[in-house]
Amino acid sequence: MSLSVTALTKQYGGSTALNRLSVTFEPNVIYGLFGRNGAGKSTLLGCIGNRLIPDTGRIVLDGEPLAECERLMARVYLANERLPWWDGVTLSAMLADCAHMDGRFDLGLARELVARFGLSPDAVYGRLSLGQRTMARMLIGLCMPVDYLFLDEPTTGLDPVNRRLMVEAVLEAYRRRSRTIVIATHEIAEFADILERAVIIDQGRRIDSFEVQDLCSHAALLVGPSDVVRAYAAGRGLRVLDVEHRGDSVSALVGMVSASEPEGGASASVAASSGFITGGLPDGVRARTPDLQTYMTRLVQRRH
Amino acid sequence: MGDRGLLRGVGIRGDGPARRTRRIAWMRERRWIAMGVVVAVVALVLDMLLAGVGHLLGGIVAPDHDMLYWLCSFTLATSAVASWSMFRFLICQGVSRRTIVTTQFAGNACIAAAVGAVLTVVAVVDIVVIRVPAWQIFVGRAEMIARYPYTLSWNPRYLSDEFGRTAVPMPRINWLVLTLAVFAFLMMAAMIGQTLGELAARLQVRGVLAALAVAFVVALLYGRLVPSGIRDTVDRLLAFMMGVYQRGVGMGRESAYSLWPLLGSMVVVSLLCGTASWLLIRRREVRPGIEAMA
Repeated sequence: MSLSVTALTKQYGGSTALNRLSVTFEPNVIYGLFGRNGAGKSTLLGCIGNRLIPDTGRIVLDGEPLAECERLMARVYLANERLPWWDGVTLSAMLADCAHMDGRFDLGLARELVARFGLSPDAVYGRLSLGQRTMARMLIGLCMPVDYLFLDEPTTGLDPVNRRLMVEAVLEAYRRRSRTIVIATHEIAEFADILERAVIIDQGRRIDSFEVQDLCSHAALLVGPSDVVRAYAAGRGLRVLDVEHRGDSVSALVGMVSASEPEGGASASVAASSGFITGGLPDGVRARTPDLQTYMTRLVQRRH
Repeated sequence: MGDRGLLRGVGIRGDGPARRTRRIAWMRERRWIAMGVVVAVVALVLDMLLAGVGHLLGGIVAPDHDMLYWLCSFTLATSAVASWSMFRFLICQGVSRRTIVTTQFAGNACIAAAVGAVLTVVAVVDIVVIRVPAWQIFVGRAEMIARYPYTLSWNPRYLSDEFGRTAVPMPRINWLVLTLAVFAFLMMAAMIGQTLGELAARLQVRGVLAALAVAFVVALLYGRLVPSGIRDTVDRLLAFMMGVYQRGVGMGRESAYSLWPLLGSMVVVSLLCGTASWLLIRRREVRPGIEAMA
């Protein structure tokens, strides 16, 4: 029982947005979907939300094709920058419309979030600021009675306080109704605490997918003299994902996931690499677990 | 994290999601149906008012056209705007493209039927109040309302060829024919509008402007480029499709019109436009906007 994307390809004119991308979203898990601008995050979510039509590939929910199947589409909602309502509609009218369309829409939570974000229910959507419009779109998504919720850039234009409130709102919505939530964002640090799994895509392909809490056994930063670090990594069978030179020493991101073998190798390698920095380190070499943002940034930047 | 673990497995049970999406589609479509009827009535009133003012001012002669053209044009425009604008909302709410097309198809039929009924009522009122002096100002114009179906409805021989030339016209309006004829015209207009709306969405602004420019040039050059023989054939075909197929002489009560070609045309045009709309919407997308890049 999951939402699986298999070999999805989508091109806009001559440019490839998704290149045979495959990923699976399990039920009741909060995912982070990361990647650079143009990596294909929004296109992937658009295809899942039936708003974009993939050139090839399959999107399957619980074993059945999702596209154009209303029974399954009712279980999926994508909140992105495209609000389906007319810009002249007030926030309260939008919420009333949602409740009218689906009696299971969590109107109570919606009103609570409107107050928490400091939005006026009588405010006309088109006159809201960029951040307020983002809040309005996302809070509607959070209150939708679906099994799979996709939030595309939920913090666009939000100040630090509201970004924090948004994270809390996601968690609150999850507490009220268990579901899969996929958050596509560049604000990795903000959401890192509530994510269970992370998916990193680049140039239309999935390059990594892992349990966030297993990051310590998934990758490490080794800092020390260049030749010693390289020799250690080679001797332990670790792949050097990225190297930053700092004078005579280097900061090397190492892991068992290779950018050259993106699909499928991750889970096996995590097990194999478990505890790979627990052994004795050479003199002058320090090791630490990278935070999620550092890992994603360095993993992706190496590829460009 | 712990809280989330406890909440796992609660899940969501659906209660007729397909019915839900159809209801959402109809929620939107109902607004457009209401708008289509309002727009048609406004067109009707505006036209009559303009004609009345023209009569009052004297000397201003309204162009000799059928009121039905106005209604068809307004219905076509309403349907085109509906098909162009409704897609984004519905697709974002999980409604399938198939449901969007079929809902609008049904909505077009509702608009045509409602406006047909309104027009029939107007025709009845026109006849009832025609002797009221104040109404006389509008009489000239009012008589032109749906003139063609109005004419059709006066002729008792419209359905049967057996009566031939010998049948005697009866001085009695057949309201069913009037309503059916108006319905057929408006349905065709609405279906063409739906297709044009889908086409405009696919072509986007630049494509629409280019298409309009091409259409304008073709219309200008039609008389010069197309031989008169072909033009005559096209005119005869259009006349036949509109039911102006007569056995008698002239366009009076002696003529034997037939409603069947019009109804047949309605079916064919609706099927063609429905198919074209489906082919266009099948690949229609809501692409990520610029805001996402911010």
